[in-house]
This record gives sequence, C-alpha cells and structure tokens, in this order.
Amino acid sequence: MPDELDGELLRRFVQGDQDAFESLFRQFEIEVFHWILRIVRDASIAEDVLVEAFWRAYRARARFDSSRSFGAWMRRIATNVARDHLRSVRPRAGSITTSDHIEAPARADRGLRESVEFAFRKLPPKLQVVATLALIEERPYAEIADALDLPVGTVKSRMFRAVGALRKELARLGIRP
Amino acid sequence: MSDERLKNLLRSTFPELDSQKPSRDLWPSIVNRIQAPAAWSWIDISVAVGVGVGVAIALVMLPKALLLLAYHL
Repeated sequence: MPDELDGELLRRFVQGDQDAFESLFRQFEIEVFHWILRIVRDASIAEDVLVEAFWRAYRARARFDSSRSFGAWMRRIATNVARDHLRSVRPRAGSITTSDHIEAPARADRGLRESVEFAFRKLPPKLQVVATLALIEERPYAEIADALDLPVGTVKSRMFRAVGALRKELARLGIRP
Repeated sequence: MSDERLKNLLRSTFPELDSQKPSRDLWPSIVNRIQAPAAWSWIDISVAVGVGVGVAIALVMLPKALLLLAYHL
C-alpha cells in the first residue's frame, strides 16, 4: 500500500479536514478495494463495503495515531466491515445436499465448484476470512494478523480449524481426492 | 485430502480478481454518508422512551417532585 504519507496530511485528516480525507481516499482506494474483494469475492459488494469502511474510518479518525500506518489501519477497518458482510450472508446448512452431485462430466466440474464454494461459505466468517487470505490469496500470516489485529499464533490456529472444518464439510458433500 | 489439493480446489473455485476496479467514483457516496444525519437506533429510541416514561410516572406518584424539577431547570 502507498504508505509514505505526509504527516501533515494525516494530522489534517484526524482534525476532520475533508480534503485531506479525500486525498487519502484517492491514494488508498484501489488497494483497499482489492483487499476487500479478496474477502467478499464480488466487485459490487466490495464497492459497498469500501464506502462503509471509509465512512467508519472518518468517524473513528480521532482514534487514529498519525505516527502509524494509515494503510494498515484502513485494511483493519475494511477487514472488519467485510467480515460483517460475510456474517450477514452466511448460508444455512442443508441448502445443498449430496444429491446435487452430477453425473455428466461437464456438469460434474460445475457441481464440484458449487459444492466447494458452499462448503467454504459455511465456515464461520472469522475462519473464512483467514482461509481466504491464506489459502486462496496466499497472503503472509503476519499481514493477515495485522489486518485482523490478532497474534500470528491465533491466525495459524484459525487456519488449522478452517482447513479441518472445510475437509469435514467437503467429505460430507462427497468430495474426496 | 492433501493441503495442496485443497488449495488447488479453492483456487479453481475462487479465481483471481485483482484486475477488477470499482465501476464508478465512490467518493461522492462516502461524502453523502458522512453528511447524512445520524440515524436513531432502536437502542436510542428505547432509552429516550424509557427515561420519558420514568419521569412521567415519578411526577404522577410524587407531584411535589415537579417543584424540585422546576427548581433545577
């Protein structure tokens, strides 16, 4: 993230200067959008989450320490908003069953992907975020820990639980290597 | 299922999205959000109603408290 920021700009942001905030938004918009997109996997939802995240950042500006990284702080807020979104759309158990498995090869691949997506979306949001960033996006544990404001050990433990839960759900759906 | 197989399965299910960008300028939406008046939550409304009802009951039961209240206002 572009984080070589002018301290004066950050101080103005903390004081509520909207021009300073717009300048920060323009610098960080794409990076934060990509970060959110990695978690929610839908561009239109990522746009809504981005607006909410920057709005929350503006509301919480007085708590921002201008000697620290604005990018890391913004990523943390964006991760929280994205996780809130995942909580609101988490699928209920039973919406896909093993009978959804398809016989024809062309449909089998689609069925497999749908089942994998379903199993993944059934993970609790806090595990889903870690698994998305670590397994799919291959982000380093330290970066994930920073975005979630957690110790690296907790991220690793959530990763372990996510993989276990995913394997179990995939097995229940009849997916094995 | 090996870790590698699981990763490959997930990556083929969730393709890379990094080339995407917002479809429009989102700054105006943020400004609108900032300038929108703060909405009252159910908690705010419940607390306001509760305090109002409590004061009304207290005044009915202890009419002399009205003088005390008037003194402090």
